[in-house]
Amino acid sequence: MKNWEDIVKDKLEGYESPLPEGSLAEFRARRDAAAAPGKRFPIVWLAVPAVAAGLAALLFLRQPGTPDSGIMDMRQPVVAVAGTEPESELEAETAPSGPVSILAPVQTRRPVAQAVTPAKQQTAVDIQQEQNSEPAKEETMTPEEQARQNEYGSNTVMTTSSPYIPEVAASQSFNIKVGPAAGIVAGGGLLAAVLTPLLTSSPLKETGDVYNAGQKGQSSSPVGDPVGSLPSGLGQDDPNNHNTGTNEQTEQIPSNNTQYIHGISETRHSIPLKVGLMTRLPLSSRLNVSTGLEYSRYASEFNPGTSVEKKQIAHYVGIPVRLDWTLASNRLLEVYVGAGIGGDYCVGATMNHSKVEDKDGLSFSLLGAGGVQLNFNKHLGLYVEPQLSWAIPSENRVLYTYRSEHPLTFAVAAGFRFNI
Amino acid sequence: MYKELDEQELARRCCGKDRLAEDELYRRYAARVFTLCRRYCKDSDEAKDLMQDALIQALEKIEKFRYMGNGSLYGWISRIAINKALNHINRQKWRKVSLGPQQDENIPEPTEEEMLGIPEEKLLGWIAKLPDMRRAVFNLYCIDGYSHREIGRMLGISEKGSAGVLAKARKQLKEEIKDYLKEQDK
Repeated sequence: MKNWEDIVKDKLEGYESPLPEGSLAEFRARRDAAAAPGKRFPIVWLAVPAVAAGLAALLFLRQPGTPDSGIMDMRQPVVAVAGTEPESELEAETAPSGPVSILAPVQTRRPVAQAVTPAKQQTAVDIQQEQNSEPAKEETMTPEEQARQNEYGSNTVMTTSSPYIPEVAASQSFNIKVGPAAGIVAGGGLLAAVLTPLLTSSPLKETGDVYNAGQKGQSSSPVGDPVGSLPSGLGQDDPNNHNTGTNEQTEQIPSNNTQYIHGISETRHSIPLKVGLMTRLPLSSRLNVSTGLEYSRYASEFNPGTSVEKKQIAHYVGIPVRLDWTLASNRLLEVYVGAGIGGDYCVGATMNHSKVEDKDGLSFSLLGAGGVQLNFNKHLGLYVEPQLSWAIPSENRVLYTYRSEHPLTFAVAAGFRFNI
Repeated sequence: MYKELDEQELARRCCGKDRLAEDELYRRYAARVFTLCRRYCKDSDEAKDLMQDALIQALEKIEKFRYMGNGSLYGWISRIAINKALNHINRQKWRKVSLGPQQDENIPEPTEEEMLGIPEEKLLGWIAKLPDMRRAVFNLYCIDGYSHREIGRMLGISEKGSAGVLAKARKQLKEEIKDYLKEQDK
């Protein structure tokens, strides 16, 4: 005796359903359309991302030395150190000071006055001595220096938010500029892990830009005392630091601080490393939302000259959200373009293994990409996509990283993508 | 003339892009493939599209067909249709999950006599009403003869998951059959 399922099978296996009317004609039309050559996968679409990927690889490997503004030296008037003790004769003598050469200061988030330590007082004395010993320096200003002074004015106020961005670099930092290379976005991180050690760092560049921005008789310094305006993080190694201001991590400045400050003119950035896990949510047959979690590592080195080189490493976690449009696809390959926005947050930053407190907050970037995806199966694919990202200017970015110099970043991303 | 061609010769002519042979292949197998597609699809329109896609793909790949005896051409075409149907099901990202009331666990099995009296169209209608996954598992296991391991691999579920889905599909179908037989008795 057959069970009911076997009977269902017998009944349906041989059953011929009545065909809908006109189905043969429709079949013929579809057969002819399928046989037409236009239905083939448009190979030409592959050419666009292939050329873009080749160009990107060329740029990536070429690595031309980009103008690295680094830290620029500015001659600025120095006022008495804010917060100095009133009984100091030093203050009275220092106030109408002439131009001295100091490190181009930058605006920290809280450029408040700081208490003077003996080291600072000593520094101020040194500065004054230097001024006194070179009274004729201003008169012998070169034409180039004069031109720079005219260009930037004497009351230069730093408006950048990173401790390492000089004014000139800051004013140019948001110009659209395609950098020579960029980060590697790797879903699996394999490609990034291989390429990053090989292709790190643009060569050290010294700007050597020294110009006189001060005038005799000026009584204000843009950001307070020169010591306090040292880059945050510098001097963190000094256990004898007694500053009480917000920027407490100040290095023990040697007596000839001019030389020390002049030395900090070298910066170099490693190519950012980006590793992420991406997934794709289909909205329709062509439209997809790509999103995921992306980790980025930005490493920079600052050479203070007489002191130990400082290495800053910043770690970011971001969530890119992109809308992708599939231009062409077949079973194996898919060609797409997409645009979107990404947010990232600095989860940690160190300067010579010491934690940096004042780190980047939440900030956003605009993203654009075009790419090719090779589908291994319906859930997993390998993608290669040239992509552009533009860091939206934000006050939340306080660290000076590769992105500070290259807001518009061109990258070739490769990795694995999970299709839901 | 084409009506008398055997499968092997028909396939050979289709391989040579003989339009009349292709039409004959359609006439010969379309209705059965359509039934197969109706088993896997929710509605007739979807099944018709699937059937035509499967036959067009079969014609495009006909040079890969190897004659293994009588009935092998239909077997080959039906595998293409099943694969297309499963792809179609797998593409539906949001599968419907039945949240209906708990069904009676002890539904009596319909007898052979009762089953023989049920028209094929009724059976197709009940199968079409099953949720996608249940429909696919029931068809693959009970009608097309795949094992739970193969079904699991095809649908991206575990063997046990396949067996569980099949049990639910059986139960739902038995409910339908029971209701139908009750109506017939009245």
